[in-house]
Amino acid sequence: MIHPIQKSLNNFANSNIVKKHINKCIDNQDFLTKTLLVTSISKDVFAYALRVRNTLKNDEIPDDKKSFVAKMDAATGITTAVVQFGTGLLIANQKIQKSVCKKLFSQVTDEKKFKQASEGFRAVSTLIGATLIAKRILVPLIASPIAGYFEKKKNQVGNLE
Amino acid sequence: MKAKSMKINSLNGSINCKGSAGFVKNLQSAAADSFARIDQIGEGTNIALDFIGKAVVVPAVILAVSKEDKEKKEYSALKNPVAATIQLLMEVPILMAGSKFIEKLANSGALDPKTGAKLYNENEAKKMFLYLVQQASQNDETFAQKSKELVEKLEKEGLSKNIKENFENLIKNSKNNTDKKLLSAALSGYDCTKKRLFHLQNRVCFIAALALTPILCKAEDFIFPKIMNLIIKKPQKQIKKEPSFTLEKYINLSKQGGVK
Repeated sequence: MIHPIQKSLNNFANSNIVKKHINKCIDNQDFLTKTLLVTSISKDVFAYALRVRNTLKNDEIPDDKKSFVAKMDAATGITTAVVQFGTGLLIANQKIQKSVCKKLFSQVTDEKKFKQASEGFRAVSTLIGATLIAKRILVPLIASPIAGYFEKKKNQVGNLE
Repeated sequence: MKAKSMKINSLNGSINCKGSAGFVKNLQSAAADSFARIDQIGEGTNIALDFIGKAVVVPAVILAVSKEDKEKKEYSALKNPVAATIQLLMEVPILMAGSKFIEKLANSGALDPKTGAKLYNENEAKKMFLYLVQQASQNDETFAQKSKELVEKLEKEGLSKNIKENFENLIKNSKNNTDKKLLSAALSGYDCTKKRLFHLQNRVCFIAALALTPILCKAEDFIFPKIMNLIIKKPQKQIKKEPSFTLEKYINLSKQGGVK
């Protein structure tokens, strides 16, 4: 008897979508880079969605603050996704990559090696740009003033009430 | 005298120039080699970069940019490496165990389609290739000698980009045309199967990581304050001073938002 996990994995591995997706990842480095970018972002989006849900269900947070905290979490999640995706796409851009690689590997005369190095550089720089620079430097710099602004606005409304 | 010293200076300059040009060329070549060798970027890379970001970049940014007082800064800077380490210690074993499980299933043929095609069975593809190498070695002595070294490397390191290229060059120089075609097809099939399995492992582990996120978040929330308590209590006892920024305040602040 085949184990259910084994059966589901077999069905998943041999589904047309997965087979096409895997073949495209092998043939096209650009597609692979974008796939990794999307998987990295989806993990964050999922974690933030979970956080919003937990906040809304958390009885320890007062009702008047609950909506604000949830909205802030949602806003940070959306900012994280948009900034990462934008930075990733910008760095992965063919024109930008071409000009950077031309300067970076100007002394490399072997065409095959130049192509391979450019592909590797593109994948690594996109991931570093999105995961390190965008997510860990740009997002906090963008999110903190926004959070401060909304907090201030909320306090002003609270004082008026 | 002046002219002589100018000549010497210009000579030194040209030597330095040539030296730095050579250095730049070597550096570029080494960088190109490193980037060209990159061949398997996947979930592991994503996790590693995320860890570096959380454990190194975020504390550095907090310490450099934040205008809070020193104590607050240190608390915030400490929070992220601890959270990153907990996350890493929970994510990596799951990823590794999941990958091993899929590899085992794939190499037993359990993930291949019923049509009989060997899509994910890396072991089978390797066996086929090595069998053909052995056959070709019987007809060609030079090929036999060179392939022996490469097969040893293959057994140790697996089919890396470098080993694949060496095999391709060896096959190109093989005397027998039939062997050439068969070996090329088998090598390309082996490489493709290996890559297919790698990407399948990555996609399954990604789905598993998503599915496990709620459990991992809960476990992290449970372990994190305990570890922070352990780290934070020690210096407080030594200083014997009431902290202006308590753990309760810190947890409340972290609950209000911030970056994952």
